[in-house]
Amino acid sequence: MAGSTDDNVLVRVENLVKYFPVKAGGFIRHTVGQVHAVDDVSLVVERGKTLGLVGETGSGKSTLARCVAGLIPATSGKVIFDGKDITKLSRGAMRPLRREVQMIFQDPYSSLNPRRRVGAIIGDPFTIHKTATGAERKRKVQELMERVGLNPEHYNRFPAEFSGGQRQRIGVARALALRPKLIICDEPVSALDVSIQAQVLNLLADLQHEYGLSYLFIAHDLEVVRHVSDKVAVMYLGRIGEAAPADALYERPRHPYTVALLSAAPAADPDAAAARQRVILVGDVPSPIDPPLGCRFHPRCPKAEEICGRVEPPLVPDDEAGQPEDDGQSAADANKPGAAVPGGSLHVTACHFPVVPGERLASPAVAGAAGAMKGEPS
Amino acid sequence: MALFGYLVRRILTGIVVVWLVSTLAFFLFFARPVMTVARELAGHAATPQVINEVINNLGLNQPIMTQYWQFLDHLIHGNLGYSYFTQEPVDTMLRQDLPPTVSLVIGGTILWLIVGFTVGIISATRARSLFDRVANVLVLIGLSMPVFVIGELLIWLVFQPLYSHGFTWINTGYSGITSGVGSFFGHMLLPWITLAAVQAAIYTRLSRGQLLETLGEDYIRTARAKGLSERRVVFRHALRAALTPVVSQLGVDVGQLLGGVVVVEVVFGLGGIGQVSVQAVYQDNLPVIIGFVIIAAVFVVIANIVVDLLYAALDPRVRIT
Amino acid sequence: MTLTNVDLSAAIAEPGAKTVEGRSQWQLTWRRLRADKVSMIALVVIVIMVVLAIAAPAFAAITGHGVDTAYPVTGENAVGNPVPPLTNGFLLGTDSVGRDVFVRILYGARISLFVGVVSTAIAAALGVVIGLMAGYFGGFIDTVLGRLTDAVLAFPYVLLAIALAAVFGPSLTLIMVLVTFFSWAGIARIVRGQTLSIKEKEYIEAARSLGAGPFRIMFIDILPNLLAPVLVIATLYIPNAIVFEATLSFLGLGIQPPTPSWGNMLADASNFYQVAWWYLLFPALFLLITTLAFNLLGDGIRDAMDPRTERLIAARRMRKRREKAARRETGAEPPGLGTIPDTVREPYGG
Repeated sequence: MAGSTDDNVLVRVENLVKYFPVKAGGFIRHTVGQVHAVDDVSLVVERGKTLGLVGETGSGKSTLARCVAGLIPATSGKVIFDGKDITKLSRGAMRPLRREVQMIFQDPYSSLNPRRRVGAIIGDPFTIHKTATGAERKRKVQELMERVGLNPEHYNRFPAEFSGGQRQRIGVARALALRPKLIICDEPVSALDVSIQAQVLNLLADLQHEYGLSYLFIAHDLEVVRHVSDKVAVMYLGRIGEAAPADALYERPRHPYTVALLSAAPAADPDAAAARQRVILVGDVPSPIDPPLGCRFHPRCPKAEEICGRVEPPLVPDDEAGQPEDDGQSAADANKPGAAVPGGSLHVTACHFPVVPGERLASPAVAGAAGAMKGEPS
Repeated sequence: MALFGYLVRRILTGIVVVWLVSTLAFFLFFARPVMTVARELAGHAATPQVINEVINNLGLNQPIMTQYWQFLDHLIHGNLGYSYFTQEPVDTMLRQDLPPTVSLVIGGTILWLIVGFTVGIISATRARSLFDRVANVLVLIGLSMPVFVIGELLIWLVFQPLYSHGFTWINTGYSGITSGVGSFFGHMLLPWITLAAVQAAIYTRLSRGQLLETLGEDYIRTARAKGLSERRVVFRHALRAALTPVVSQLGVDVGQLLGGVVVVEVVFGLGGIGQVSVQAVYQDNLPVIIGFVIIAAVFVVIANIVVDLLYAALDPRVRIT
Repeated sequence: MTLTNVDLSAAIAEPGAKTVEGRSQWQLTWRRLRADKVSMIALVVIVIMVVLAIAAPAFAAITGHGVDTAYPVTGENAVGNPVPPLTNGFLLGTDSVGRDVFVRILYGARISLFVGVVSTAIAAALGVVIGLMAGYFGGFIDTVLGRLTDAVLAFPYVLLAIALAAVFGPSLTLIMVLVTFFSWAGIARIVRGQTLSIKEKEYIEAARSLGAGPFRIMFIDILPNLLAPVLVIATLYIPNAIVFEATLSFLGLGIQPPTPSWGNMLADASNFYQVAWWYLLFPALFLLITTLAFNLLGDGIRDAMDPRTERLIAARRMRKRREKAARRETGAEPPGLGTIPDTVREPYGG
């Protein structure tokens, strides 16, 4: 892939695969299977933009995030951060890069060390990377605290003395300390009350504008993702099913899974909700140890046909799938390399029979209604 | 079948352990200046003549590795050396001194296990009752007391008064089973109690804690709600889950038990291999000490294997490893 | 997507609440401990014992009896036997050669407390380091360290004591080495277990994502969370250490006479109990009280750190039951189903 025209791409993930071995005992412990957590995922995060990543539990989004952050080694594939392939780096070489990529975690109650003071926690990045010490570090930490909306006088308090929302702010302050380029947010508001969620999200948005941060924003709540993201990708069982600029995805979803997800989210406008079709998926998410052949979603898909059980659909932009696409993209945009990658400017879908606008899906979803293929027993 | 493989593995590990211990003991003792070693082998009261005899007989002037192979060779053939001090082969000595030790260990272990588990189970099922509270206090005292203190107190408060009033059944020293069962028990009763006391305290506390925790679990609550009698609930459901961790602890405690054995033998004058070894330290009688170390290692290994088997029988998950 | 400017600082700095300082874990533990009478008594006993031990030379001076000096005239009766307590200025009587039992007990306390506390402290430091490394690194290091720990735990200590005493001769140093050697393993095992569970917490992952190296994580992030259980375990290991020293000295493998140790005093006393019961009783009593106190204190600290103990749950239930019974009597509560039949018992019933 030509990298020279990707000035606005901060992170490029190419064919990332992460399998976790499943070991069994016996006389000698050996590997009996693999958990296909992330199975050939490619995406880009553009500078200063937010890529939202949505999926159920088990879809692999957290694993993907950690691979991008360099916390877990990838099984294969590349993660290219600012032109450098970080999957090949040793731990020592990774260290300076840690200043550029930070993470915000989901649980405000367990992401801060309960036995350390808040000032020390936020000051950690400075200490670890030796960029500030003593009084200067304290000053910087207090500046950060103020910036995220905390009282700097609480420098010496313990996390237990703060509320959930405040603790997330502490996490944000910690992530922000070294002015990273990318912040990976792993469900940062899922554990918070709805009213607090808005505050934290707004804070994140402000910081993005002020510091030109890029976000990889992971969540399972669609409305939250829509609110914050520029581009959105939907994951299912280790692969990306669909990806598009945020509005395009929400207004014109193509993948049946996306349609089902959106239909399940409560809508603010009751009329719009009634107009929307409610697609109920039958069955449980299959185990990532033994993913279904062909399209991974086919056992639960209302549109599945025989080919879906055999051939894995490629992730392609919609005009190739036969639907005219009008996202307001210029032709030049559409032809840029990287545009057809999730996180790029095109709307891509991996489905043999993408949903057409106005189409109503069978509900409750019965797998393989149109074909001989029987899906998972419900 | 899995159990058999498990057993084989444990035995092999055990052999390795015994070999390791023997090797360590050998180098610890023999890798020193020849004269020091010779003097210790010959014993406290040895004349220079005896010392020279020792050096020649045992080939102490040979290179250390040669000595080591000899040592291993002797070991495999059951030859544990010769105690110059007492003028007899070590294995003869130890064989004579084995019966008191074995009687002590077996009797003490049975007593400790029975008392420990029984009191622990009763305490747990009648938690916070008078029985439980009293038991708790006794346990705490038992835990805090060294074995020798218990032994001495028993001698002073039980043996002495009884004996001076003509009740001579309870006695110190050892009397083999062959010389009369009654006399055997009379001599062994106090030593058994002493040996068992601390261990029983530990196990009472352990089993009580484990059982209480298990009884608080949801599946026990379900069993009760189904209307099962309390006895059934405890014995059929709770006990097994509660006690498997306790059983696994047994292996570790075998080592501790050995310490108690030595002390009890010394306090009551039982003359078992423990007491003899301690005396051997005073006498600088090295062969006996080496013999004791190896025998003790074998004993610990065997006991551990037995306990491991027991644990594997109770908890099938263990057999996979 | 921007925010309407909410002044968040007002929400945080509640007026008038500025003196509400959160209490740290240690302060809370101390408060709970203070409320526990048994633990407080134990603590007082330990303090007294320490004071007595430190002041041993002072007591020797006061009574006029040296620790190693025999007093055949005042310290022995007509037939050459030891004198009982409170005769001729011997507070607790004399021993087999006419020395002051009380003074010797105090000097013995020095040894016991010194060995107990110092050995355990060193063992705790060792155990923490090894447990941390085993738990954090896992894999091969854990297997090796784990096997080592298990081997040491299962090792019959007397065996090693005998062997080493035979080779190096008994001494204080030998005892300290032995006691330390046998204490670190138990501590390491606990620390390893705690580390394993702490390691999975998100804040550890956060530290790694910041670029912290393993040693920083172990000692700055994990260790503070370990201090509480380590304190409990160490307090409970001190009596073990004291007993171990006493046992070894009793067997003659430890502190050698004439230096007094509770262990070797008891060994000597066991030959004279018929004529000098005090010689047996008092060292034993001091030993027992000291170890008991440490055990009780350790239990107390453990309970104080984790308030969700059986005791509190039981106490709460008792209170509720009493209140309910009282309410039933006054008619405010409808009559219950009668007494619960015997076959269904509360696990914490009482």
